[in-house]
Amino acid sequence: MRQPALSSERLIENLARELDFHPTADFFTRNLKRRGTGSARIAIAGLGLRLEGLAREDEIRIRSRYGVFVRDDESSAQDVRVTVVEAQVPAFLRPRSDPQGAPELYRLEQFSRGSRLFAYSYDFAGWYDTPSRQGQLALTATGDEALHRSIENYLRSVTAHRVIAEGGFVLHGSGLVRNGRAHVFFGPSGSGKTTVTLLSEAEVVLSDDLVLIREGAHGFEACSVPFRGVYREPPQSDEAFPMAGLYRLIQHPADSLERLSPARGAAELLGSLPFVMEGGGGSRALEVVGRAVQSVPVYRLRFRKSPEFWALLSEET
Amino acid sequence: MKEEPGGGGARPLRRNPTAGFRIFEGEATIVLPDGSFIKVLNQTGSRIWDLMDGSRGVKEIAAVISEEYETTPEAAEQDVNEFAELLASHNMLE
Repeated sequence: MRQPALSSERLIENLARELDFHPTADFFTRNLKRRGTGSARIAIAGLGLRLEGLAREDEIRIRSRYGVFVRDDESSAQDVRVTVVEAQVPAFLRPRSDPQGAPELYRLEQFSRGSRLFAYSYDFAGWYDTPSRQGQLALTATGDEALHRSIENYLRSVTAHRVIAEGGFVLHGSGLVRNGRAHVFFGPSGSGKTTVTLLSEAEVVLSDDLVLIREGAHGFEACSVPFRGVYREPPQSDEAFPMAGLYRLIQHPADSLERLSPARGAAELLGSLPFVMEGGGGSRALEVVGRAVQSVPVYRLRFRKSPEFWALLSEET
Repeated sequence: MKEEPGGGGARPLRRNPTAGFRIFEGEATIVLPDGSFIKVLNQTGSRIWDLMDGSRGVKEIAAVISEEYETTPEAAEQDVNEFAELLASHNMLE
């Protein structure tokens, strides 16, 4: 028996469930309403960002999640101001599956128009303009998890671009502080960043996902960012720690540590910089990373799932 | 017909001006602006890359390399040609 034809409204609704909506720069010229009158200021490595237009419940959730990074009392003329608005569309990107049916882990798209960087994913679209330090974040979802994921991924992108403009970089890595110095382990997903975090004793866990590295008055130092990977504990500190070393992780049946030349170290680090390599950022990233590898040793660390690799690091550093 | 990167050895070779590169202790790290190509060149590769400034073709670069390294001009020319082809295939040459 033939199926009844769908009405045109139903067809449009079904299609809308399937298709991505890729916002252009013009999308943000719509009259998008603020979600509320709340605000919160977050400071990451001294770089302030104020979210305005938050609904009351958004503000409560953000203050709870970002803990030590919420710094309303330290406003600066250098702060970025981001207006949070209602997206007025059901979604931007739609989750996809691979040919075997496994859902994608995450997808975020970026593009630039002049000095304005645009980023969007499933439940948000936003922009950030470096010279004016202004931004806008349009949210589709109000649920707790979707809200956190949307705000956090927008902030990840903005932070990565902002930090590289300031001469530092955000590295896809885990950071552990031992004897007052930061050891940063980096590499792609599955290389062992969270494993190292869970296996190791440390005075401070900076992160198991993203670590901010910048040049301080006494050399390069590592700081937490308020973004979490699998390790669910919020960062315990926003303090900066001098760097002991950078370690490209490779899981292997035997532990070994190999110091890389600055050129190889720079190439490995470039491969682990999220967000900033797209849209022509490669040269700037090399310039920044190039300074770091001349003062911080970079190693290739092959390790078993055991904390015994620390003996190699103690000998070397 | 597709033109060879070296153009028979006479056409000047020029690095993609948008590619970033930095030489550390004789080794070069090179990167395309979009990060799609990140490579480390050994000392000889870095020297060839450095010579690809738009003023020399394959033969002239090979002549410099054969003077500076223990190799014949013919072997150097073959190496420079292969290297230029590799770089061109990754849009690293103009």
